[in-house]
Amino acid sequence: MSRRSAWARPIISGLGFSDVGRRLGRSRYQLTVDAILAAVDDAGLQLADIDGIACFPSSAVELNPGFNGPDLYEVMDGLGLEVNWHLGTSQGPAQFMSVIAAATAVSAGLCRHAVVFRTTTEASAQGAGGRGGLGTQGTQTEGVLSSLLASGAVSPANWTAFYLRRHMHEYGTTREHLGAIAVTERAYAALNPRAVLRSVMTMDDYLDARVISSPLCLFDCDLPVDGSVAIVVSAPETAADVRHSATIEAVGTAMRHRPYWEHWPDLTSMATHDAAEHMWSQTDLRPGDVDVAQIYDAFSPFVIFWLEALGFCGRGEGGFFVEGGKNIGPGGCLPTNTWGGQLSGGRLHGWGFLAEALHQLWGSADARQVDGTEVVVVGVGGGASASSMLLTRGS
Amino acid sequence: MTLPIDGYEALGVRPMIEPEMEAFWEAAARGELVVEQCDACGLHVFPLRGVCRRCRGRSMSLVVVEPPAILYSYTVNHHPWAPGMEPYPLGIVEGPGLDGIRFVGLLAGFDGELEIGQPVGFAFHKSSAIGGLTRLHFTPWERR
Repeated sequence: MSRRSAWARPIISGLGFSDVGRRLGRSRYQLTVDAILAAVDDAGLQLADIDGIACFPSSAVELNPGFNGPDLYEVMDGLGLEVNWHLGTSQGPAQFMSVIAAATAVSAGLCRHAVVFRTTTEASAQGAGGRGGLGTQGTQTEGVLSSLLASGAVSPANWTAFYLRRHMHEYGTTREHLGAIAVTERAYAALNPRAVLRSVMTMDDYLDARVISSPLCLFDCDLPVDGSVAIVVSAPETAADVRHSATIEAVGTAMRHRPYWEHWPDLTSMATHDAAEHMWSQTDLRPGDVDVAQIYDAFSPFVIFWLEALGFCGRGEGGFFVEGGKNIGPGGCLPTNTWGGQLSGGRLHGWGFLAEALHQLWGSADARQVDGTEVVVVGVGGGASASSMLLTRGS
Repeated sequence: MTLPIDGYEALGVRPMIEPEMEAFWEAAARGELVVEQCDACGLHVFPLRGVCRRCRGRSMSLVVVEPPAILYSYTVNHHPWAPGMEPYPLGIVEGPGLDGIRFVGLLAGFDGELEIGQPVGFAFHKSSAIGGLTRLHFTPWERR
């Protein structure tokens, strides 16, 4: 197990959003500029203070339409940034690879204030035709998804369904357990003006929803949106200069198994487990110290896998932990995805969780606020890559 | 559910074939499922790599995987990725003694309930979706 000796506990000093919605009709470039300028303002900084920038993914071939944001260099050019550090990357520990890389650069003193953004225009790019399988853009796919795609399993819904079916088979997880996640998150979304789906969902609504890939139904799948989210990662010694701060206490980036959905040793665990273990190895805080959880839910079973991976319950107990929403809902022992998750808040590809973690720590979560929040865990990724971060309230 | 392969041969995305994987697709065209096996330590390796991740050996042999494999999990896809698609089942299988390697494919000809742990046989079909390559799918296993 690695022992971290040089992590300087960088801070997140600003958060910014563009508009978030379905088919906004604005370019990915303009959404990105909106979010970055808002984040820099939120930190109380000027663009001239920004000397680092990162994003995920990079300008690689798109997995599906609207997945990639704008080109990193074009963003740097549009904002006139002069940087000491920059990185645009597609392969790494899931959706926070960019945040963690920036935090590492800040921690090492390579830069002082790094902006990190994630932009998606999947709703506009899909258009009226709706969601397609992966790889429809390209004529050939390479890499760790290519065997899956070549076999006829063209959607992550299929791959996730394999995992969920196995988890049900081994541990007795039920559709009602998954339904509790969907229903609870929809209830939270009703309190979030930025959420895209806010009407009431009952368990009957969930159980009657059309099947996407059994056992997954429509309400187990997240909703593509257009939007951009940006943060500023800053050196800890700047805490007095910025408007507010949240400390990046620990991060988990480990991947200790084969990076393939189909060859993962056991389909009842994922890279979530490696990342969570790595994160906990680098802090004295423990699951019992966590006030609020923000957990990737591109498909609802990921919440169950993350809860088990993070140690909030035992292996195989995740379904029973979320049953009825009593633990994860308002007033529960572990309020989870208090913004509505990607199931109801929209598919901001992990970044909605980071934003809500910051709102909870900064006391700006309005009607969703969990009083006294001091420690939030954020976990992103499903399948063979994952990352997690433990964030604490700054000074 | 019985599923003819006709019509679902159009489902999939063409893989870029690295030099190491050419032998796999050539074997599939002959109706054989192959993996690598390390000549030094015996580890089975897939995708084909030319290197053993356990002992770093560089001498690998192709071995044919014989059915039955065991159904490890499955799903029935309902969402129509193209207009007019009917539901179809997909399976993920593992072979006994294959060091954790699993294969994914369409399940063809399965009537009644699918059951984790049931044995499956192999069959192959040409797929226009993957540039005319021949790929594996799974069939009910008839005990001989």
